[in-house]
Amino acid sequence: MDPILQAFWIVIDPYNLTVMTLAGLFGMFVGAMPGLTATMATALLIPVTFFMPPVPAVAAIVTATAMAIFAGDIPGALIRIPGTPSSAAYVADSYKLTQKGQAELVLGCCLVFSAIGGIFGSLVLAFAAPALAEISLRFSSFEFFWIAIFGLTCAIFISTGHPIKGLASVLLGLFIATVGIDPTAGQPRFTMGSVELLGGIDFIPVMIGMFAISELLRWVLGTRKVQNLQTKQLGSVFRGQWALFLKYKWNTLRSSVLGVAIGFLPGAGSDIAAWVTYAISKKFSKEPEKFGTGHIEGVVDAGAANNSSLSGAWVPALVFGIPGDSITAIVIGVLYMKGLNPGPTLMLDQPEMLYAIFIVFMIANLVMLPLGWVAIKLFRHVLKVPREVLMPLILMACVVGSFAMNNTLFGVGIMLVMGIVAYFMEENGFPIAPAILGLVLGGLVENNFMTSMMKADGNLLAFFERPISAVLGVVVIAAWIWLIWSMIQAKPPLVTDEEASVT
Amino acid sequence: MRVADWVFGLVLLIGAGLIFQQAAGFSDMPGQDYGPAFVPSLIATGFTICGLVLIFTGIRARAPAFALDPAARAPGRIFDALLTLGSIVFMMLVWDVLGFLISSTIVLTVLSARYWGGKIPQALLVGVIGSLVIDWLFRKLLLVPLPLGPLSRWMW
Repeated sequence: MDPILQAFWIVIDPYNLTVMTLAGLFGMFVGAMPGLTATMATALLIPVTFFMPPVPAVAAIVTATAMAIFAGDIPGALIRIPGTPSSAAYVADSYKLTQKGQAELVLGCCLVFSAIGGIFGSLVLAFAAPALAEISLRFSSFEFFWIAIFGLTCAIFISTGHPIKGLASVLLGLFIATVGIDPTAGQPRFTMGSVELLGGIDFIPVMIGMFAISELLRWVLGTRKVQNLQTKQLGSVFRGQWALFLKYKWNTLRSSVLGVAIGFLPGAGSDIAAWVTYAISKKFSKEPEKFGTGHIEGVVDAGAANNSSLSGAWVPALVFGIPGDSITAIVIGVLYMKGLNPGPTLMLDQPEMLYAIFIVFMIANLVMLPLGWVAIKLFRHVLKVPREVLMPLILMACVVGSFAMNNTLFGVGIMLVMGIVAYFMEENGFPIAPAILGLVLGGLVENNFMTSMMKADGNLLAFFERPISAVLGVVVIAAWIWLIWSMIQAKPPLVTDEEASVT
Repeated sequence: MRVADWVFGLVLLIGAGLIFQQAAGFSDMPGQDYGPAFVPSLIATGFTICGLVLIFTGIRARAPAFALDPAARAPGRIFDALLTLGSIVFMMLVWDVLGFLISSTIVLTVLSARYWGGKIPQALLVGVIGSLVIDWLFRKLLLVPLPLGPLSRWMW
């Protein structure tokens, strides 16, 4: 059977559609609840997806994250608290629009343009991934080494205002990846005599600890203010969106393209995409003075970009096995667990799976419209769920989830330690995403380096002898020179400390 | 909690020292220039550089070694944080003895009662229903072998 048709059958399976709907509702809830992030939704979903077939597992994550990123706009617009960091860029505008009595317009705008951005990103994913996969089939260990290093480099200098702190975070991830038996010589490293550490540190408990337990600690130690919703019953959110689209069609296109591009870069996720496109929107706008005072243009731009970047991040993840953001870093772990080894060969070995993922992306972004409408209507009730109850339940879900990976308490211990470490890191301006990328890419970097050195008999110049490898190498070195130069010049960072610490 | 950069720098330097010391004991790969110690040593070198820079910038910033954010200074916040972390340790300690349902009910009840300002009956309800739902979801639906503890005589 044709792989596309086969993929279609896999996706429209009732089990898969049920999983997608439930995951969508879960994502909506997590996104709409201030303080819970899309990455946290993914981390909490992993233990459940662990027991599913590959496509529903991926479908659950795709749907939940797409919904969470949109739903984060709802509390941003209604109570001035962004539900996820990705909505933070335009929260001032969206809240002021609500205050002007335009809550329906701004919420509808967030929903519709999130869906448009998401669908655009999905199309790029569907067309770019197979084309890139064809090129990357010619890659050897030299190219993969450089791509992984490029990923880590991007993670350092995009996601934080302090490159040194970003570097320390990446190194921490790389170090965690070295624990266990060394892949080339079979030497046990940093196991401290523990049998469980011999197998290495499973990255799912690390993820749950770093994204969920640390969030929980921040909430416990934070203000825990209860916010009241002051808006009246909301009317139709879809009215006026077509006119908005016609007015801002070029903005939508520009931001969707930029969102995909930013998502593609490792280390930069939907939050960075939103900040950058908002800034660009302001720069090129005919009425920049209105930004921040309740102007819809920035909301259109950043709302489309944060959703398109989600799909963009999947391109390097599926083609090279290199995550574009922390969500895809988690996904790569799931794909490996499911036997879908991400990388160029996925296209050759299991094309139907890849097509199924593309179809899932399209459906998730289309389903967003009705589900989002429901979420907007029900938001009043979401806010009533006391977080005092929710937080202990999340803690328990984290404990059970970390246990379920290998059915040992060792995972729970790892989760606890990493949760505390991540809390201290985030509170002091050390970004978390680079550590996760380091952890995911650590093995890849070391394996490809060792393989390359065995092939080249220890000659380091071999990394520059193949044309693509040489170009990649030069790009990485140039990026490092720029990074060090900008540190010496101490230019203002692309993203400030406060923004970076919420990623 | 704010920790001064120089404290992080110091931690990184100590970490780097430990990695170097461990890596020195790794065996070489016969006939190869790069062995199992190569990548850890590179990481330790990186930690050293980061550590030195952080110590330098941290000392210049003259921040106190540790400082609490205003929100965390509210009464009981530190206790809450320790209770939250302690409840995970408690779960690990009694996991097999009490089983999941009992230990989870205790933890959920205590934590919700504490966060919620002492609404004990409601917290107990959250503890019991929450534990039953999580147990059903993971043990029955996803077949995770959550221990039953003393309840194994009555439940399966």
